[in-house]
Amino acid sequence: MKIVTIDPITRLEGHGKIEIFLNEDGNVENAYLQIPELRGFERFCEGRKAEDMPIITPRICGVCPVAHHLASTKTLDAAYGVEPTETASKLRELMNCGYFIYDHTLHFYFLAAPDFVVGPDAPPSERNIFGVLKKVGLDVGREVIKHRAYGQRITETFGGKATHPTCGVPGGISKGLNEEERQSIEDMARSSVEFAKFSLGFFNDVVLSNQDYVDLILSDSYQLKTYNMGLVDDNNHVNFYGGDIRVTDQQGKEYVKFVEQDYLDHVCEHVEPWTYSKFTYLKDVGWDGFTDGPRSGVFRVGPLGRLNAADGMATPQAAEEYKRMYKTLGGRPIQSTLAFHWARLVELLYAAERAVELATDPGITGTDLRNPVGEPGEGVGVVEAARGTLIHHYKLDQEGIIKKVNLVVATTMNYADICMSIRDAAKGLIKNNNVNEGLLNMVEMAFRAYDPCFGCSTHTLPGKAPLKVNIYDDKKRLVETVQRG
Amino acid sequence: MKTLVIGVGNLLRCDDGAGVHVVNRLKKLAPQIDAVDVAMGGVEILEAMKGYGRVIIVDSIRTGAEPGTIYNVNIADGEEPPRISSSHGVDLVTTLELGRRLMPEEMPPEQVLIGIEAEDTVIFSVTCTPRVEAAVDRVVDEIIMLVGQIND
Repeated sequence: MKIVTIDPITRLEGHGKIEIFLNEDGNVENAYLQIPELRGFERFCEGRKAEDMPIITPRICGVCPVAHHLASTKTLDAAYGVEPTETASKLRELMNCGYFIYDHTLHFYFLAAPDFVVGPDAPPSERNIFGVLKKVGLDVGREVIKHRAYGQRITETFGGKATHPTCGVPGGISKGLNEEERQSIEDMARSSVEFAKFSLGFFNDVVLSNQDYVDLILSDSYQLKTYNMGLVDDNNHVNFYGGDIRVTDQQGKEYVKFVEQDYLDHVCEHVEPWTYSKFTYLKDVGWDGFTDGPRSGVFRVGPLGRLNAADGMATPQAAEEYKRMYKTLGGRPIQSTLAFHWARLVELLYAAERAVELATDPGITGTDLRNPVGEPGEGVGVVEAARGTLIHHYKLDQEGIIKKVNLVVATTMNYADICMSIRDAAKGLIKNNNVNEGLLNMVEMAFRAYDPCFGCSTHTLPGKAPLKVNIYDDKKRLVETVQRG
Repeated sequence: MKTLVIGVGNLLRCDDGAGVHVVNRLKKLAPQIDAVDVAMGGVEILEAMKGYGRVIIVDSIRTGAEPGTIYNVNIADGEEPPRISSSHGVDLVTTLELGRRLMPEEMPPEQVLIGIEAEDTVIFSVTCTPRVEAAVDRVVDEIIMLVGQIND
């Protein structure tokens, strides 16, 4: 057996390693993504004051701090038996919209666009943000940076930096909005709506107008028929902050819908000896290995998972884009992994439109910011992070000290899907020992689509970060090393 | 010359947080110096840097050298920094290059990178290992001296 290793993965949030196992004929047998451990975090939290959790958890991962902050705050609401005020709920949701705007913008232009705009076969030295700017011009680059900053400023308005939010407290929020701030957010949100529409148009011109790319998106190599999961509102429309957790099946029909505190009745974790990370699956369906289809409990979260798990979008322009996407790609659900990029842009538009709705809500400048808390206990809190559903679960003692912590993050929920997508892309693209750089990049594209985040890992990297491919023979002896970077 | 100090890193992951520790210490010891913690770095630092005459970016790095080794690189002079590839999508060199191309008139003419060689970036700890801890102190002293001189 030959082993192909791609390490580290370029242009990814955090670091991981892909291992592709070839058979004697040089064809793909299996593929796995190794991700770094998140070891000791639970112990690190135990014994701390519960109210510190919304401050600590955003620092696990600098990539989705707002989502961790809000999930943690909602967990404390539940643990202290208190509902946040209406104003506080709206402000928290607005904050999450700002985070989606900046995160989705970064992913599309910096991480996804190089593959499509510059081309999957272009040399790595050009397949980056500068290659994108060369094609689209510096003005577009300035708009990208500007709207990413807008998203951050929206989240920062409530106090604390976007990277270290501090405003969420059990029962509410510590800072409200004044009229001047509200107007500023409205302006930035309206500009973001136009930017999102521009981005969708850009995707249309660059990707959808190119038959090769459409064929690539729809090719068998990038299909995965899994269940899908996401938060939905009362109308089964996508919601980033609240509602119920809905799961749909391979036909797009509702499989189950449940409230957040019941997550352990529906979501299980499977352990493999070769990785520290766990694999989640639907409890009632069961774990059937790295397989898709109705008998495998594997499900997808994140932009495509959310859109597949819902019946539509709650804002008018995003709703139209949602319909256009499903019409173009053959109806709901869409099984193509590369459609995550399109779904991400539909969500960017939704986040911006929803931010306008919230910023113009007459109650948004209300001063009823916090309800009194009850006695400490146990709580579960769920929000959507850019990468998918995020679950926090804490047990507190009578003094409000943390006794137990469980976090289920989006990358864990997508982990089995990511491994399968890599395997399937590799099967279609690496044949008879033919492993060239363009093909390897297509394999990377399979999991980049999920926007996996290992930011819960660390920031420091080895001094050099080349892309390295090790090829081993069937006795696991290194026979060849291919390197780039 | 108006100077901004930017600390990059994850405060919870031991030596990974060295740059953030430098910023936190500066805030206490030299509140007159503008210092900001941007956690994971990336394009956020461009926003923070706008309008300053000089920026000093402090980050933990891994080159295989002795832990606590301090690297001091003047990027604007064209010095090649040790290749620092951020784990969060956009590395520092790319970010600074992006700033030069997209908003050259707003970027600080002087850009200094201070790298502190890390030892342990895996465990959850809000304190650094001893050699990195000592390096954090040295970097804080150096920055206070440097910025003080220029301001005088």
